[in-house]
Amino acid sequence: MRRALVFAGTALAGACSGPPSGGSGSSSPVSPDVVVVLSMSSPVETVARAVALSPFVFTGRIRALDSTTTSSLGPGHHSIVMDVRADSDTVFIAPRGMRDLRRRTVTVVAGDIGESTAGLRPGRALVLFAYGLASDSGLLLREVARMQDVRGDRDRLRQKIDSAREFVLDQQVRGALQRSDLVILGTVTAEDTVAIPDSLAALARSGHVPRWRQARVTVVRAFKPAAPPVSPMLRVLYPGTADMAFAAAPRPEVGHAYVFLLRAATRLSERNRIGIDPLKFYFVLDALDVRPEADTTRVRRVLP
Amino acid sequence: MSFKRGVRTMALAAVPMLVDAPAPAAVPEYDQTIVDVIVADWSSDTTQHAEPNIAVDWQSPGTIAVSALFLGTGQDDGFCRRDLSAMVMSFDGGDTWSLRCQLPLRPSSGTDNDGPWTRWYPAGDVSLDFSGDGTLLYGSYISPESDPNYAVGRVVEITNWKDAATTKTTDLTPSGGIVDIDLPYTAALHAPGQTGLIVGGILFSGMGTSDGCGNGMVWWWAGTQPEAARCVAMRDNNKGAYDESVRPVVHNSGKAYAAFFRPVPKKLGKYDLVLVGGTLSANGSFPLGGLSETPPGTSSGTGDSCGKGAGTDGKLGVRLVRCTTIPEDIENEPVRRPMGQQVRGSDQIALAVHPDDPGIVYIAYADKPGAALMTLHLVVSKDGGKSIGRDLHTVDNALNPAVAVDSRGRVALLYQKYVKNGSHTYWETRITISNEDQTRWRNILLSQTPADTPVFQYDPYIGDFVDLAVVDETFYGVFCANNDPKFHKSVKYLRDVTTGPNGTRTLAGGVPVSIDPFFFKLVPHP
Repeated sequence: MRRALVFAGTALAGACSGPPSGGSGSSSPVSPDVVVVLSMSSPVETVARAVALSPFVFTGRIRALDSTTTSSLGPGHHSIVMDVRADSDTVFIAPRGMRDLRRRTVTVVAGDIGESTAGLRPGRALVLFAYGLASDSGLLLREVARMQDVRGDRDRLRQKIDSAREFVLDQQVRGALQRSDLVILGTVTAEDTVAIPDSLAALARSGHVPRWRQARVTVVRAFKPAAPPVSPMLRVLYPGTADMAFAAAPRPEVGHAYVFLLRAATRLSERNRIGIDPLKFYFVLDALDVRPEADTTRVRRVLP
Repeated sequence: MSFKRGVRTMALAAVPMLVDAPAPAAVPEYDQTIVDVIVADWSSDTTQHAEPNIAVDWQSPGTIAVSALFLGTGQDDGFCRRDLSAMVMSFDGGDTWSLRCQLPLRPSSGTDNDGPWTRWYPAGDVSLDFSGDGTLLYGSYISPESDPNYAVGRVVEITNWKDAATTKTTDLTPSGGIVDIDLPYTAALHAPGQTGLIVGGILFSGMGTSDGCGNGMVWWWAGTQPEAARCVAMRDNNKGAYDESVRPVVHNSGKAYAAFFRPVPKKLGKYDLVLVGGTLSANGSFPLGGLSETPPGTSSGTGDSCGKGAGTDGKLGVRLVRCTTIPEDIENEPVRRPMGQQVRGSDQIALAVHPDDPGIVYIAYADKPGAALMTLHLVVSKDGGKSIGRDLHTVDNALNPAVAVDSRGRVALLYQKYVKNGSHTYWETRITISNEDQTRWRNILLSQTPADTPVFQYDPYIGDFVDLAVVDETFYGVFCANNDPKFHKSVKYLRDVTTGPNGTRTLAGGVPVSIDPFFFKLVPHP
């Protein structure tokens, strides 16, 4: 049973029928089977949903339809072969590790088989929202959404995509706020390791435990709940390990102010709080849990 | 005439000597192919890739899959749809490679605190193998959560992998995966026409309590449901560290083994190397108790691995090495990295079974019995795992073993060795290959790169394992190393490199050096 994302845009005719045309079959929680056509008048939340699913957003011109530039695409797919524009303002989003997309010819699997290239023709300029399927001698993407490219509107288009990215970040921060027990603006005044009694230390020995450090945070302002915490000084756990599992975890620095999206240490799994009194600590773990002070406005805006 | 006869006599006299003591077969020369498998489109990548693994379709050895940590991803952005992770595949024997998004991350069901905007984390410890009938590519890996749970283990089967748009990945763990697992390792049945796999791994669940399992587990899938899950009693009451790995291997006959380090109770840093075994059967039976030190039910359990005497310990399996020392760098505070930014641990085990005799098992492992930072051993059991002889091969200051046996009985040991030369330090990746009766060995240097650059981004640095496979007489492997092209003169790069006027190659565009996975293939001369 596939799950289709509900877009507020215009779904392509027939796009919801037939088997999933890409990805991981029934095990995937995100199956953007609905390809939408966006326009400059589409609401920002609609564009944001496409942006959230798309590591690639770029402009190009259709070179061919139902063809391919890569051996990774088997027969029977409807596809769009696109020449990515050469000018500087043409790739809006691309993964950082990727080489320059400009002047490339890429193959984009379009919607569901049968109808999603209907209405397209070679030479037409498009803005494509897509994610990767394969990369070898050619680049194979899967279309999430498309928009007509109007060269004169490029600045407006970039603004729209930037707004969509901000909307996505807002949504991510909102999710992190929802799961937080305490949200504050605070300054890190000190940090050190968390001492674990010797009798328990052996239980916490592993490469995949957080090896907590604690930041002592002076509360400047409370956002959630609105009333300030009883203690103006909080003890905030953050991972001290260099283990790959925590590579993206936040590391607040002494002397800096941050917006902390804190969870009570009682929420930690038993394994991750061995030797720690969970009633005395909050913790941060995800990169979203520690926002720069400049994000105060965002936090206040999206706080549920 | 008589002279000729004399010559003939002399010649005849020499012949029996040759028959009685034939010269040992030589180790063949090998044609070598090495490829950095980071694809061209990912030429700006500076991610530290580690933990490589390889699978070769033995029926069609031009089809090869390689995995490594964070392929196709940066720290928080990636190539794939955000709920998928990537691997690379080759369909021409390893000359060219394709990055593919075919590993689903979190389970489709279950509570998600973050709602529909949840962040996904790339898969780790990806281990791959092709089924015996060539229709399935199995994968086992961990899919980290943002906590409080650390990782969900997924076991999947992938079909129609050549067409990236219609690849189908089916979860073999439909209940949402195996919660809180680490270091899953896949070993598929390669017998013609057969499917099924076993997976070894460590369960974190119950850490700090007693779930009666002791962390180490082996699962066996004959169909789409796990047919059996067997605890291998790695440690008592789950106390202490849990970074050991459980490495399984399965012979075409269905005979299966798994090896792991079992901590010696009350002896911190001391371990037994334990081998368990049994025979898979179509009805799902997987009696790992096929190997034990005493008949079932007769053990008093009084043996002390580090004490005097040879008593039994009453636990599953046979202790092939007792009371050896293994440093656990990552568990200490502060973490030490005395071997070229790499941490050492108790996950250094590899297994292979002789293709013609399931009773001959080769075991490679690393420990610290002496002054060397880590010592790698290759041993063989010729009695089905009941005992081992002395080391066939010993390498000081080495780790990350992988072992394979070709169709003629030649044994290959792949490893990474830390070398100090004056003020310079290096990681060397080497493979040692024997002749058919292991009386001669050929050592081949695959890679030599500085051990102090690039600076590590996280642990593990070059990974805590490499991998090796064999089809007929051709060895296929993968390792991770510094990707500076000037240290890999004969290596093929897919990512962009620039050749200077003096012929020296560098990563194009001033992209900083990082750690990449390197595929290699060794084909014997006819």
